[in-house]
Amino acid sequence: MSKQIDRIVGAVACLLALAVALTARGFRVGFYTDPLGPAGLPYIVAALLGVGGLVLVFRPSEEAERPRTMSLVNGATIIIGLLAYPTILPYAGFVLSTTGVIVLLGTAFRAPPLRSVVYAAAYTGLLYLLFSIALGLPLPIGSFFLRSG
Amino acid sequence: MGGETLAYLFNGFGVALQPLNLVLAFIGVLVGTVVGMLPGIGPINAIAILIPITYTAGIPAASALILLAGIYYGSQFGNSISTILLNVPGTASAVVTAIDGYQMTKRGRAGPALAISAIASFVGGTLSIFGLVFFAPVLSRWAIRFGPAEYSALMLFAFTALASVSGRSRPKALIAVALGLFLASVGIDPNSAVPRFTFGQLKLLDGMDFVVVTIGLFAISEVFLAMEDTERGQSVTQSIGRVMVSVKELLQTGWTMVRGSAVGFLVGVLPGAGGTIASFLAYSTEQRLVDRDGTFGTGDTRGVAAPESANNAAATGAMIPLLTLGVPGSGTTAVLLGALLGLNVTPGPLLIERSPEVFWGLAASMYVGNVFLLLLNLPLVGVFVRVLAVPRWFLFPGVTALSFVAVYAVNQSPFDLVLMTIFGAVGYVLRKVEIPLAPIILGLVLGPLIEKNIRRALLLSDGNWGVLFSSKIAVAFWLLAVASLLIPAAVRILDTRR
Repeated sequence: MSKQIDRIVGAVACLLALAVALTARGFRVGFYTDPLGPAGLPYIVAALLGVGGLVLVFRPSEEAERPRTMSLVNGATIIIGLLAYPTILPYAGFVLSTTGVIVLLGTAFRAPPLRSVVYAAAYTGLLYLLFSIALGLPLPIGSFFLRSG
Repeated sequence: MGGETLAYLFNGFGVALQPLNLVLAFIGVLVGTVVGMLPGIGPINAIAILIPITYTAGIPAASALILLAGIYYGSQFGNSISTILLNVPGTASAVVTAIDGYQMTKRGRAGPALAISAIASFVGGTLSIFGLVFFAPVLSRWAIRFGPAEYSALMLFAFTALASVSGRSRPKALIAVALGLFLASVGIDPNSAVPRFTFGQLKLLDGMDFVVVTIGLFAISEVFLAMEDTERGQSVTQSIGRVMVSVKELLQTGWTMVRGSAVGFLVGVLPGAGGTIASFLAYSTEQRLVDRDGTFGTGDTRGVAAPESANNAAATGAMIPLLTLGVPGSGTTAVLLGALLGLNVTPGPLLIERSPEVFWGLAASMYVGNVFLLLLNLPLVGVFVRVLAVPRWFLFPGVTALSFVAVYAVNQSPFDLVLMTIFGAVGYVLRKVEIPLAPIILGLVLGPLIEKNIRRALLLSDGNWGVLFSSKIAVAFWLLAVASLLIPAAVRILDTRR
């Protein structure tokens, strides 16, 4: 099992190496800047990825055990929560979005619902006090509230 | 020279004892103790989250470093708590402490184990600062003649050294370094103004902000990992008894602590090695020297004292290459370098001369911080232990929200939050396939510096690559780099033949 994982990782690294090298070929400038040029570092990256990838493909390790995984539902909840946050932040504002995301993640972590909501609201309030009021970080109020208020 | 050092250190205390810096040192070591103790939330997460906050708060560079370094060495204090009580190391550098520490707990001697660990940490932390204040200026004076060729070779050595000790698989460490360098190359190339790997995104022209990448890779991926543990239903409580140790036991471990500190400090100065190897080495050295009755591994106090003094000393030692050469040797010190660059402090041979308040203020504050840590970890350890019982639904959604705020503080851009999430998912996958994360951060932070130095060297030599090997110091670093890659492999081959 783990040999296969190593081979897949190696193959992905090789593909990435190829993509990096091909993209770097386009990094040209009309004038002379320096002997290495903008493509130098990307070529080094491609070489390292390629060497590491090839070794993994042809000499995968046997030691590793099959990695643990988590349930799809919980994984999806976290990802959706994390991606939804920046989307709704400008509209709903910091306080509502943050409380919401803490409660949502809390459900994935099996939080008791009522306590989770209280905690989320209190914690968000604390963050708002600390960052917006004490440190002066302009946290979004939310265009939704700005329009109606 | 000795008198001069003392005078500088005296001025350093002038900086460290300013009220703001005292408060920041205290917050730093407090946060460090807590994150060091909690498995899964390490110093890298805490430092990365606090960096944008220190920028927002506008505190001076010396003060910011006092805070962030406090988290680093404080975490080496706290990491033994969960190790001793639960057999779950708070950070990797406390793995060895588990051997005898957890045995002591099983025999109802958790209290003495915690006390020994705290005292050993204090000894290691304090003795190593002497090393810092005496060796750092010497190394600075020596490194002042480094040119671009020497720096290029030195940074290469830092990469190979870290890659050779990260994880079990060399090719995977190589891939990790490459990923870090790749991220470093994203954005406008400063020499030619060519946009690299920006995928047409205007927001990527400035490059990847290392705070966003670090918080994603480390903190957010940790949230996914914590999810797995929640599904497996692990939970933890343990009673500790009185945190006390008899004078006799303490005296027994005295020389162990001193030797552990020396080993730890020296290993810490080397790139790559760091606290984990330091603690292993100190433990095995001590086992060979003093374990006549074969009590190591059965709850011997010296088996706790050796690794704990070593990993704390290593944290101090690791500050030397970071501050005097500007070349970090580990993930955590790479994050500290990123923080310093963001504060417009360029670590290097001129740092001690040009910003004495940063270096001497930090050194002095480390003495102060270690006293705080001893107070926090001896009488108050019972309070900290309760933090270990904090439920995951409390901890990880909270860490996530804090990460959001920290990343938002960088540019006030929701796009950064999306990037952070992507890096969180990537970091989780990388952890699953056992690609180490620390070399990625090192690559990201050092990438621009190594590229700049190589290009400068080649520009000065009109494209002659021989310039990279033109001085004895550069050649020495190249040899060290090759050796650090080959020696572990050679040892492994010899081992299998035996």
